[in-house]
Amino acid sequence: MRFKLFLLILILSCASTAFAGTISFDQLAISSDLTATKYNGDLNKVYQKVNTNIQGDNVANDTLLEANMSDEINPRVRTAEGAACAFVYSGLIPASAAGTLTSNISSGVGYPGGYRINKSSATAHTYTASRWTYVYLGWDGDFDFSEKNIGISADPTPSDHLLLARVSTDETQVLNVEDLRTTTCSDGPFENIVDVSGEASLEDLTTNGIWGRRFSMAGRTPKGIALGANISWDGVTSFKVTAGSLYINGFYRSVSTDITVPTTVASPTTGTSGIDAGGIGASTLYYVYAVADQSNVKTFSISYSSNATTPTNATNFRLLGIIRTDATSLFCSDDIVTAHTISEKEIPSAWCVLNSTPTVPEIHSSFNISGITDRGTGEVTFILRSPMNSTDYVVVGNADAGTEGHLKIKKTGYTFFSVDQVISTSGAGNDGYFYVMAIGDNRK
Amino acid sequence: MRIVAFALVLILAFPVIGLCSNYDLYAITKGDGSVEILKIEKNPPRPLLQILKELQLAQYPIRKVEESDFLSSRADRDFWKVESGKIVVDQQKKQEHINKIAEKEAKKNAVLSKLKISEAEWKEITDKEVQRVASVN
Repeated sequence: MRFKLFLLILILSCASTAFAGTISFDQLAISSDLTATKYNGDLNKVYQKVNTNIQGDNVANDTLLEANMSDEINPRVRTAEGAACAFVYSGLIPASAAGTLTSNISSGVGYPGGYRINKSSATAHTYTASRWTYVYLGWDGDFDFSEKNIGISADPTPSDHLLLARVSTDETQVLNVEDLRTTTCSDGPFENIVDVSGEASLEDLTTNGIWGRRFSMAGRTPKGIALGANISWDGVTSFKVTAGSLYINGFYRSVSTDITVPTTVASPTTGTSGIDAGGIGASTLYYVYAVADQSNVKTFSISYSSNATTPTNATNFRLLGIIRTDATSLFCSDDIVTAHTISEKEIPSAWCVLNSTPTVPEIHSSFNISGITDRGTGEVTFILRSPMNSTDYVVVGNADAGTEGHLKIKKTGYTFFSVDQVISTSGAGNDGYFYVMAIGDNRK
Repeated sequence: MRIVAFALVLILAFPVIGLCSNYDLYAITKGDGSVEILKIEKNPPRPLLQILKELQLAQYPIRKVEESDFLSSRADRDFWKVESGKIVVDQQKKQEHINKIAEKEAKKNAVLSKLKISEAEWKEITDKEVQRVASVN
């Protein structure tokens, strides 16, 4: 009896740490007997808690080594599953279901926020009718659901969550499931791709700063990569956005062929380009946006809007430029501006500073001027190195012969323009400085 | 002295600010006898004949010239002609021009005399600004 009592005291004293959290005993009263039932019951408590139900509260911090944990919950080598980013290693895809709004999300392994989550069995979920439901897996192991009206794209993915799918329902059933899982880290994401540890990532390089010019008639150029994607006049009832690659509100999108943009209404979530809402207006300035609202594609669509900041029915967009319509609601070829690039219409095609005072006139400084002809006193023809594409170009300039003067543009051709320097009101030509500039279509 | 002369030659050799300053010079004698000087970059972007056609000068006699073939002054530019490969002043044309001016002057003086007004008065009544103000009023 004494031995048993001693043993119990020994166990209880050694298990002092095990008392915390989940194990407790009724202390013996002096008047109580230590019965066999109580002895066995208390031992059984210790047995059960230690052997089958030990909890985190009973473990001192930093006492368990990673190697002591099961690979199933904590794989020692995570790269075996390719977990270099937040991604789905296996499964975790909702199923469509005929005749019912309930379906299973399959078992699988995912890494939301880098946390390994093993859903060892399928999880049933009942979806709301006639909705697009975006399905996420959180770092806590729970599935989360974001319901949207049909046609509305997903909000930005919450931190430490994985976007899995978009589930589309009608009144009675789960019609369609669009797989939106990231299933590999080998292609990125860009924030993980660096040349050398500590260097800027590919994401830094493609998102920080503004590509091309900062400001234009269309407005301030959005940040991030913008290659190609120029607005191009294509006719009076449509325009084009050329092939290109864009960073659009967190998405990288690229198209390899020009997009023809009609006057019909756009549907960004299905990748259809057009006006954002309503019909085309007369004498209207439209802002052209690249939109990345279609899921699971690498392309962007185009929406244009009279709203200078926000197109209707678009969530992820960036400003590309502007285009106008005339009084009959037809697209005009003038005033087309691409925010991130400069068109030939916006820069001089040629300019020259010429001094005609010396015996042979001197070209002091020039651009795209191949030469001149000296036709007489104060009369010069400027020869363009790269000809204009039409005679619809503008020549402006001023004269300086030490007194009041101006230039008289005599005529223009594709390859040259001629000017006379006229002094004062006498109409007489004179030699001196010519400052001339031509602006027009000089594309090659 | 030699150094100064050398420096002067160097400076004169680069009178043009533009870096692309290699030009060929051609003198073209037009139908009315006047001379148009073509200053075109060496290795032009289009064949010389094509450029001349563009300028509607291809039908006229053309001669390559050097800067040394020009006169030292541009004062009589409108009376230039090409003679033995040099740019010279066509004295006959210049004299005709002088005569024409003198003739015009004489005619003007005759008119002023008939009108019994001075040249200053004539200028005042033909001044464009005076005419503009008058038309506004």
